[in-house]
Amino acid sequence: MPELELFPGGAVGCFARPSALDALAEGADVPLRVAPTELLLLGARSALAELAQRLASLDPHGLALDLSSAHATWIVRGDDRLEAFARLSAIPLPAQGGFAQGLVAHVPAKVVVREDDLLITVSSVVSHHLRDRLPAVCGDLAEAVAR
Amino acid sequence: MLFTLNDALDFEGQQIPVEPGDSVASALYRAGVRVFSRSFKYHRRRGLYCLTGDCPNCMVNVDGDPCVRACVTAAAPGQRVHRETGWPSADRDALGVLDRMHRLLPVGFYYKTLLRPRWAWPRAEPMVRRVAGRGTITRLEPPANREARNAHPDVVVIGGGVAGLSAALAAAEAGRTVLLCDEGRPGEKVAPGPDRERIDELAAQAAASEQITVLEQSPAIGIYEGPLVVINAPDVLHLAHPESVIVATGAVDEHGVFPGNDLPGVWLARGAARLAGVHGVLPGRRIVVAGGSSEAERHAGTLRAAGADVTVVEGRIVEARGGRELQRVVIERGAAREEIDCDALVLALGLVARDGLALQAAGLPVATVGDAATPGLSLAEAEAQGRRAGRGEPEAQRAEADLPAAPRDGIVCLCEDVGVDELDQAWQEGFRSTEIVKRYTTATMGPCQGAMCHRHVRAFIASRPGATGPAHGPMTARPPTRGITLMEAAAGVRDEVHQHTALHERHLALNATMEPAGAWRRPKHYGDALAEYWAVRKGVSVMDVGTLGKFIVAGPDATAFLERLYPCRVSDLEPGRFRYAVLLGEHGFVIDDGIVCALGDGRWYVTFTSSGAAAMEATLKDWAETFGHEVHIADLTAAWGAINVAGPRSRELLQRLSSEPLGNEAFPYLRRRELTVAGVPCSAIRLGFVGELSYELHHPGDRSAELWDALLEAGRDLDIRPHGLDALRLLRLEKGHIIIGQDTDFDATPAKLNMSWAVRQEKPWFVGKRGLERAAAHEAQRKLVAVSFASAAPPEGAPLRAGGRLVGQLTSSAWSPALECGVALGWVERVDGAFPNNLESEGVQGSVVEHAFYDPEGERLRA
Repeated sequence: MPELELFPGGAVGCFARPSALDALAEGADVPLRVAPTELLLLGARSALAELAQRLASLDPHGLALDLSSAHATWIVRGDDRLEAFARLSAIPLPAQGGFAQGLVAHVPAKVVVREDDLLITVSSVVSHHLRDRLPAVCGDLAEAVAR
Repeated sequence: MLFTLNDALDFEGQQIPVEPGDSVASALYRAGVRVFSRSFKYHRRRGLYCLTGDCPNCMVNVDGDPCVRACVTAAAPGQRVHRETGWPSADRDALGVLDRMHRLLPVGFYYKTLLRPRWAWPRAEPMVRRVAGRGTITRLEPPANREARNAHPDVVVIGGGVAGLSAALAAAEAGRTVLLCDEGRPGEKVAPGPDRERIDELAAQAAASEQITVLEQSPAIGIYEGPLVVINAPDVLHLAHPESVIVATGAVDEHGVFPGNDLPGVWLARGAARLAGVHGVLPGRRIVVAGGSSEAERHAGTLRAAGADVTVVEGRIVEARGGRELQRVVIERGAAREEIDCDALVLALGLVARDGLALQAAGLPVATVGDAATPGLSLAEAEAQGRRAGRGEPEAQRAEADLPAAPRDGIVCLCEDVGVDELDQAWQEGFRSTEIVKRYTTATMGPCQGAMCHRHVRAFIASRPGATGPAHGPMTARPPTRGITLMEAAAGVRDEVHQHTALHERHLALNATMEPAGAWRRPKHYGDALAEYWAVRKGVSVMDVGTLGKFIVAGPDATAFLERLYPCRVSDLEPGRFRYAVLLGEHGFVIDDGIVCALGDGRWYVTFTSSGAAAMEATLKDWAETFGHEVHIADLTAAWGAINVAGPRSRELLQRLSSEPLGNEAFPYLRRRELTVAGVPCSAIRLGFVGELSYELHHPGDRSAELWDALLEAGRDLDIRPHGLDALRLLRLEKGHIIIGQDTDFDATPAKLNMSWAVRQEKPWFVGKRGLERAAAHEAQRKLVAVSFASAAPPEGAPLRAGGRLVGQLTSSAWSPALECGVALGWVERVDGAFPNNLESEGVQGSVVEHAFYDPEGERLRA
């Protein structure tokens, strides 16, 4: 049953030279490299100060910002999660461990495929849309539960 | 036969029995219905013809849906069916007299008649449309929540015949996932026989395969780039994104063109065989099958087996004769002509590929197999070809089939009622290519999209000496290849995305009326827009402005980048200061506005309009790349909320929630400072879009609700109330502030907007500088002006006149409660070299005002 849950821990956005972001991404739990000069670290809100300090040493002009309010990351679990995603998006889902960006339910999204779940990160201003669309589109698969 | 009302459909008030497997057409035909529609132009009788969903003849209204093809619509007890064309009825149609008035209804009728006097066409048009129309949509319910759903199979196979099923099975055996769609059920249109038996076997194998998903009653209606295949299933619109597509849509019998070819009783062969073989209904008792192929013999066998007296003839069909229905056919064999009495003429003149979908797929990974590629393949050949395509083996390019003989007489286009005489007339009038003959006569442009007639139109053109253009090439095919209802086309309409700020739930709790504002849903008002207005003007009010575009720009080149981007000075701003700035396109036209604020350490905070944020992010990044500047552009639009606290008592309110001094000296106008309000860290910006003392509090979005609640609670004794867009639009209009997109035009330079002060033309370079220099070389012929009306201002969009001459239009307009006059902005053009000062709109006199209507000195902003 596709099941939705919000990913905890907020997000930190890092804007810096590519080499600095390469170094910063290493060892991060869920690093999303959304552009050569942009890195989104999911779940890293509590480490913002540390990240900012580290980034400053890597690129003095780099920015590390708390973007927790900017994004909502939905964890999609359940056996039907891949089918649920396929119904909502025209982009092919990458292999496990992969990362893709594209429209999901007509909303710009960043997608991470993990072993047991999918992470779908969207702007917080349209988070409600994804929350509503997934159960609507997958109603015949099973009842999706947003919690 | 005995039947109950539970087994019947309602046909124009008459109960018609429905048998298992019946289509609406077969049920009606069994009950004796012969005329299913009247033709589009001449109201000729039309009966069943193709029975495969390819022609327009059987379109009826089913349960309120017009233009439903009865032949491919399953009959169901309780259905309500009626014919839409003909007055007073399709059987006895008084408008059939039009068939005797061809000379009054020439080809290009619309372009030639009722042009003079000028009042004639507007009066005639509704009548013409009603006479020619194919029904009305009577439903008024909102659209159903029909889904548009993506699918990602490896292969999409379109068509569940022998070739299609074989392709699907071969692809599945190769480990590929397959989505197979058929507009009915696989094989349902095929009369019993070896073909049907083989289809049933293959369909059973496909159903058992875990790799294959079969969608029945699901026609593919278009192939787009990607490839993307759109499949119209009964309950959902599938958007399939496969790696490859196999089109196996089969073939349709060649349409015959001869006098009387559209009489009820003239059939295409597969349709007649289907009616007899599948539904057990004879198309006639005395049947002439025209054609010499083995397929003609097979269909004749099916009809004989069903009990008909069948004569198979070869030769040219000269004419079909009859009054209300077919009575006899004239056949020419060599020099001899023979008249044969019959009540059904079955045309087995050869097969034509049903290739509308294949023609849409040029350059895409799409293979066409079976009859859709090579009409008339044997069972074994179709199966082998399908399997090769399923395995991904390339197929030799097929040669286009020869065109039929040029038509001499008869109806060419059944949909649009275009006969050979009308094609001839178009030719006589100088239309010389397939494309323009088609456009002029509208042949091929009806519901069947040329499926029946396009080869005959091409044959006609090809036979004429002096034809221009590619008469021999295939015509363009466009989606949808099968008709869809507006409801079906609206699938996914509920997928419209609205952006919500962090305060959305708060607005709903305050009973706000929400309205779309660009991509956002924003409060229009909270029940009393006028009270909200006065709260700003006289007391204190708050507004959610979290929708503003908000960015941090940093990096070693940030200052140089912004200096080069904006037409105003940037680098002279000290930390804590900001400046209103317009952003120009390369031609010098205003594309957005906002503020540029210095944060210190080479970091900048810039804002844009609510609807411009997404585009401006792209614009900023594009220019940064173009300039080669190393800058970081962080979009905080969703991350940060913003609340505008406005009104003469706004300072008093904020002071209650902040321990820091907020007096005019500590926090003057046009300054920014860090401020903690109700425990929420804010970047407070003192500006005044609404013309009163006001502070924008920009803050982390997850603290928005907390800050909003605190402000409303602390301002309770000040009669605080939030204001929505209605009040905002009025407040800013009184100040003469523009709204980008509403008051600006596509060519609005700052000078035309009376905003030259926002441009430092002496700067060596900024985006739009060259454009402004070019514009400055010519005297502007239009400009935006503020207009004051003594009485209520005319509505937005109303024309502006000067001395009776039309000179422009209003872009914003309202009654000002504070000033008790109408206030407006509008574009005007020069009259005799000068911009007019006295204007009139809808009978109301107005005069141009050179300053803000409200508080022109800006004293209230600086209070």
